[in-house]
Amino acid sequence: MAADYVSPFDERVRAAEPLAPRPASISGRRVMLLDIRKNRGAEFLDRIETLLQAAGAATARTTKEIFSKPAALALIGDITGQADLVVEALAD
Amino acid sequence: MTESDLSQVGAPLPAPALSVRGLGPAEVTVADLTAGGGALLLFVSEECPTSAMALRRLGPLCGAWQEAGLTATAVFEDPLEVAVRVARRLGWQAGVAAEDPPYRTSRAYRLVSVPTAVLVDRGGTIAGTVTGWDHAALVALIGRAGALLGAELAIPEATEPRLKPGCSSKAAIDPELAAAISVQAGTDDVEEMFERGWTDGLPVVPPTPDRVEAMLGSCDGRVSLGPVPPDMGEATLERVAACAVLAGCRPAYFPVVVAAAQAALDPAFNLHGQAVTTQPAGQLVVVNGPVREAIGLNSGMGALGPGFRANLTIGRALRLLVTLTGGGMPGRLDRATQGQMGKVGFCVAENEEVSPWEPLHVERGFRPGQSVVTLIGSDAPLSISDHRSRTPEDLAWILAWAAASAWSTNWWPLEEPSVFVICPEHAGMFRAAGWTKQQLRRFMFDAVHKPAAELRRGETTPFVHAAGPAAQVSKWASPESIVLIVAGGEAGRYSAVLGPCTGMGSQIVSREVGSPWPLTT
Amino acid sequence: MHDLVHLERRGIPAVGIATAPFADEAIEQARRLGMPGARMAYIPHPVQLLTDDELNARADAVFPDVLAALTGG
Repeated sequence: MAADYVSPFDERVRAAEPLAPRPASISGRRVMLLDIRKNRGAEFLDRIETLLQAAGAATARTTKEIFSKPAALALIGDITGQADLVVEALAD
Repeated sequence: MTESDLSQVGAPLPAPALSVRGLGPAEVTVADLTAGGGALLLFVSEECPTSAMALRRLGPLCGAWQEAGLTATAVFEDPLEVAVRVARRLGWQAGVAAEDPPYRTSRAYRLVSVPTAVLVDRGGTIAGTVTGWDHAALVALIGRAGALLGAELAIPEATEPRLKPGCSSKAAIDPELAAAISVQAGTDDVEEMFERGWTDGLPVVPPTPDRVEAMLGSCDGRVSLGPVPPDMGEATLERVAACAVLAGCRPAYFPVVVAAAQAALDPAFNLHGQAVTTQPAGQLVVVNGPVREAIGLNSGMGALGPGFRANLTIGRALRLLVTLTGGGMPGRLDRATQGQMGKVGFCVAENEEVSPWEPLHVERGFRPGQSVVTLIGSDAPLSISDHRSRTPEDLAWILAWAAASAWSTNWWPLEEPSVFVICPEHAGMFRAAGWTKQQLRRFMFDAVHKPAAELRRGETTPFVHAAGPAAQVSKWASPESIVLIVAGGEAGRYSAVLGPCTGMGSQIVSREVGSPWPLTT
Repeated sequence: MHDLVHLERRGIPAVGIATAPFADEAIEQARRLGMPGARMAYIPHPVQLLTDDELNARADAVFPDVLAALTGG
């Protein structure tokens, strides 16, 4: 997807966009596990889900319709309504 | 995911006919491709990293394969222009073909994923397929091709990963969804610019190397105009050209963009202050001289509005330099409380032809035949209607008092410039009365004054506080704060005044447009 | 990476998990999208041929990185 455009930015100084603020812990938070539907991803996320629950998080699962494209904006919108945190896996 | 099938179950399968677009006008057929002895079809898609890897790794081998009789063709499940671009980027110099939705060819070849390599023999029979990147299977497939041709064919090196699955073939997706995805493929470049944050909120022209090169012309892209505040990104001419491309400029506009950038980066202009202030400051670019006509700048009807590529894109190119290269993006480092639309870009060409006076650049010491840009930090235009004044004095009074609230109602006197854009009909009244620019300026300066007592409400200046209540206070610190240019259509009596950006010592800066600029657009 | 950046822009902390060979691509993509700090966690390649136990072990091993990415550690 990455064509070689000429960037208007001086990469040495470009101010990076900030990340979303992080909670102190995941305990009590809702974590959405986003499966990109590559092989072994579901089983891998099963294990991650178990570990997240053991750490006190509430979890939910969802999948991306096609792993080779960014998730539909509708899906992103749904996720932001339903979750505080997201784990996306497994890119192989 | 990485099956390879070199054995044939039952009767040999004929390679289905191709329904693809090639680079030439002639139809691409299996028979043509196998004419040399055999064909390797490599089905790929643009967004698939494994496909990219396959193209990169197999590309260098195709030349020697061709000589031995094996013709390789990359069949893209993408538009042809995308295929050509991707192939070039990955160094694939062998055949390129492209499929349109609903990807009949991929379906006919029963593709589930890409990349898929299909070997077809001289008789048009499928002699083997490899799905995904599977080094061992590909070596076997190439060996098979060599056996068919009676030659030893080069094989790819066994670099990691030796095994990598591909991505879903578009043929394996529901046809409607595939068509919907493909429709987006044409706009991916535009969306990519938004994704990367390379826009001002409007779509931009993606700055491909070809476009930037064309924009630079004979300029050396490595030359730097200096750091652009507030981030201090270095304004190499290449980056300035990228901003000009993004903005939609033609190469003919580039010398004007460069001159505007040079003026804006002059420390006296204090671009830094303007880029991060809460004020609605924009960088007004006034253009004078022969370059206006040469590149189609509009100084007539609609001079302050939309409709003319040169005006809009030159102003925008400068702003993109500030917001991208300089990082002065609204909502982040640019803290303008409300901003104004002039910050999308504001380039005005003076209507020297109908003006009764010397143009701005001549006032500022240039020769009439020089092409010059003048940068002024300013806020949004305030429209001044006057359809009924019958004397130049009345008109001048109306124009001057329109600016009474420029910057702030009672903040008098104002040192920084107010820019009046006088329309041709208004200028005509002064011409008929024989008023020089200086006379008009002096009259306007003298016309706007109030006793200090009337200015002592709300925000006002220390000067007003210190003055005696009856002391007359002028709107401007001096007549030189009144800048006068002429622009607009010949019918209608609307002039305008632009207020200043204040408190940052910003000077008006002029710069000659570097020549030679092309005289044809 | 697009998904992670979209989510972060909407205020949702996110982390992507990939196999190690994806790292270069992910870093480059994040930089291109203007969010070089987007968080990823990596497990060794390959995964296709792992047993279930081995796959679980990979998940266990990367979990501390996942937690750190989500809680600003």
